Amino acid sequence: MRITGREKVDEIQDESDAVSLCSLYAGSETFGIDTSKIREVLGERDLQQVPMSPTFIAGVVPYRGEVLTTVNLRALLGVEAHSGRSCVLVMEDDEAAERFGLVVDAVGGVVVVNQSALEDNPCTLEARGKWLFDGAYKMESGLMIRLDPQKLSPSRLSETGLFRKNSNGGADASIDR
Amino acid sequence: VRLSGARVDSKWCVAHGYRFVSDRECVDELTKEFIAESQEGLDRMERCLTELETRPDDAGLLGEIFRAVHTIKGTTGFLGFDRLEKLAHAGEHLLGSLRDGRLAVTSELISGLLHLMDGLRAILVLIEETGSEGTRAGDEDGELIAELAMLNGQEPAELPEIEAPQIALVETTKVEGAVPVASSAASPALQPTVVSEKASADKTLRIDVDVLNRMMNLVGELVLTRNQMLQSGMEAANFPELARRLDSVTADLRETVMQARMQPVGNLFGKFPRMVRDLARTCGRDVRVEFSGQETGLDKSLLEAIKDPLTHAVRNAVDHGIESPADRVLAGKPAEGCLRLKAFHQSGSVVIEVEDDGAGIPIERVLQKAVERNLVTAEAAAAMSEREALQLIFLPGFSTAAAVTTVSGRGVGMDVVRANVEKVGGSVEVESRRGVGTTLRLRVPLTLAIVPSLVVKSGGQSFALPQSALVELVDIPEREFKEVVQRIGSSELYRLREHLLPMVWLDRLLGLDADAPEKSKGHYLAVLEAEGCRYGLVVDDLMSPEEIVVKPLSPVLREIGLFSGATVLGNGTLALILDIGATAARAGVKPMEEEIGGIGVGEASVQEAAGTQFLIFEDRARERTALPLDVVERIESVPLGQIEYAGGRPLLQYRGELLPLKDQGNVLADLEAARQRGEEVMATVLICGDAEMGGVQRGGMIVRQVLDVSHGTLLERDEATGGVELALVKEKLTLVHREFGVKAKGVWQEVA
Repeated sequence: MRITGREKVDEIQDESDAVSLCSLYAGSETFGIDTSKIREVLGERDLQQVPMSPTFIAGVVPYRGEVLTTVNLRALLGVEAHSGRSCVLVMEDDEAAERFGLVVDAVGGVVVVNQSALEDNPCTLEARGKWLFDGAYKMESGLMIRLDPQKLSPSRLSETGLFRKNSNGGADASIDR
Repeated sequence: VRLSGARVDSKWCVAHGYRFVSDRECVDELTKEFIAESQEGLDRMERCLTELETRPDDAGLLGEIFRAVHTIKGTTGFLGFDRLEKLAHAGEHLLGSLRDGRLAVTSELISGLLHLMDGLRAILVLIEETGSEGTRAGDEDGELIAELAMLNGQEPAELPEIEAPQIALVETTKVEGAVPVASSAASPALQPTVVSEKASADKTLRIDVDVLNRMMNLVGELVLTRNQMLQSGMEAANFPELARRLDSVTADLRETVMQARMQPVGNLFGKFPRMVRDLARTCGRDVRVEFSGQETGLDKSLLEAIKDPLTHAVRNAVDHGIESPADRVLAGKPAEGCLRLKAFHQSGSVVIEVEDDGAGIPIERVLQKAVERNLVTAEAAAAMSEREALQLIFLPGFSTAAAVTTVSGRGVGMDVVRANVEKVGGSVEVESRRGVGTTLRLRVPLTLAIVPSLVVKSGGQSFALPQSALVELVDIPEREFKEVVQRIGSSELYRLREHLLPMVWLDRLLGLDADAPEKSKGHYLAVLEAEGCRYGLVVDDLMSPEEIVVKPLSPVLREIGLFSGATVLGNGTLALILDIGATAARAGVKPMEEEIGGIGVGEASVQEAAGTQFLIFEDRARERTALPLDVVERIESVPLGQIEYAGGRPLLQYRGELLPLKDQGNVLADLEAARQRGEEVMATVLICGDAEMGGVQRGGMIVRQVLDVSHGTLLERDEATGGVELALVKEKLTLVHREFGVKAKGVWQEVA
């Protein structure tokens, strides 16, 4: 597992604009999500596929007496599905009180970064990327793209209509590793 | 105080913790207890009162009412609520006369007692809200007490301990006209009653003490198991055993909690007799209310959610559905209208039907109005089936105010009913037949309810089919597949007992990859029926029947419209629950045109009975015998050795029950002879007696051979038939057994 930016933790810990992010990987990209938005990391789970569902839905998984709908980050990025391991994270959307799962390739660790290291989305990014990404942190090992869990919730995704079934092709130009 | 039940009050804990701090909290524990108890008493009284009107001589009912009022009176004196005590005292006095037989039950008397109840409720609400019973002059109950006294045939002054005889006397002169004045006096009291019911019902839930004890036991067990697990660690030898224990404890606990949350629909129905009675009197109707399926369990939160829509529907049915007695007589119907409330499980939901035998909805006027209001084009209207046209009344634009009342007589606020039911994920349907009646069907999902269902496999995935929609299962071996499947164009049909059944391939419908190598095993056809559609669903494999717990799906997945929920199966995997009706619609299966009984059961059923379905079999040689299909539960093939004898009578142990077997054609003797010759013999047994209909005497019937299921006509019993009941089924004479069928008659007559 790659754990990025651990060495920087100490030097920025006391600053008020430090944010802790959970790093995760999908395709060839590294992403970060605010740890306070993550309820639990479930690890590898068997997903029950739902026929006729939008392509970005990875399936459903039982979670604490509920049926959790999961969103496939790979599908959102337009990266082909892979047969390897995948990891389920449980997100909690405070506003809509909707719980959902996010399926990624792997989860890294907790990274504390300085808020000022955040760069806005480039203006050349196409519409789907603009919806998904919330800027990027400049890390030593490269960029960590910040995701906004609220925008990843299944209902929001289907509302936008950006990720319809027959629209395929990558949201960004990343290649499968 | 009460041993039979415990009260769980979410507010209680909070109140308990702060009891000594908040002195201003004016309603203390004792009073709260008293209020809840009194309200229950009054609820009981309400039920009994409406029943009393139909059975005036029932001393038990009267006793129940008397006790309710008496308890209130007794406790109030102790708590110091004088106003309540006075009113209760007046009521008790009247009830006392009634109990001693000095008074007869009249409709005025019932009204008076209902007003008494409203009065008591109003004061209880006041106490609950303000902590005192309100002794301002305006709140005095002189009028009501006077009414009660008058009903008791007394001069109000004679009533002992009454505070202000002169007021009462003045009121009496006014009350001479009795009912109208009295009802106006009581009507303001009705408003707060509704509020209070809502308030207290939200907070408290009655749970059987046994259930609560079991829950506590299970929680204890859970803690113990956890402790052991923590101490022993993963490597311990007894770990698997501990895990198993944890598993069973959890399952039990889940079930117990679920059980506690489920409330019988009857709790909700109980409010209606009174409402219908009042409404019927104001509208000048004559209405009788009948119930069935009160025991159907529904999650408490859902029960609350459908209360308002259901009330609306009942009000509509009495107000607009049922005609005035005069009109009914003219139409050749009994003057007394009938309102039926039914609750039952169907395809993963609880269905609540409000059925009246009124005039029905005039379709052509609905269409006309819809066109006028630009809701549909004239062409579209002309092409609509009756079913589709009826759906128009749910359109928001359609059902506004009085315009609709003049058009259809139904439909005021139907859009609101639908909106409310859909809010909890349910749906509303309406069926109407001109002159016969209207049925409004509220379908509520069982978000938490437990449904028996069959788990099937298709395209490598598991799906759950609710048992209630399942009619039968057909096994089609691969080699026969080509022969039995018939085609019209591209659509495939299965010929099931001379009926063509549209086939729907689940894997194709859902776009799943059919795994080719497993093809050779053949297919299973699940014959399903929902919302008037009947079709055969082709699946790859049948798994086990399971009682599943329905979990809701997220909105995105609900939008697909084919799944009513998901469930965790015994092996821990998830299975989607197929919405049978929606699947039919998606596959293009249309509802069958033929009406299936239903509405005018009263008179219509007599004629309809002529066209019932029969199961035809052979028991005596050369004779065809039939049983009405609805009394046959199952057809079992039993090894002859399993049939046992007691006192010369054959018996069968069947699912923990001992069934007497009928063997009219001496089939057993023949079979026994065959066994003597060393053959392996199976006896065909029809399991009869419909458990749903309350038929207690189930039994089996041994037959030689089951022949067919078909429609038939009962013949008139006359001399030619020789006293036995004969039917014409497929132009052939068939003897009809009646032993099991008789009980099924008049089941709906039960008046609650």
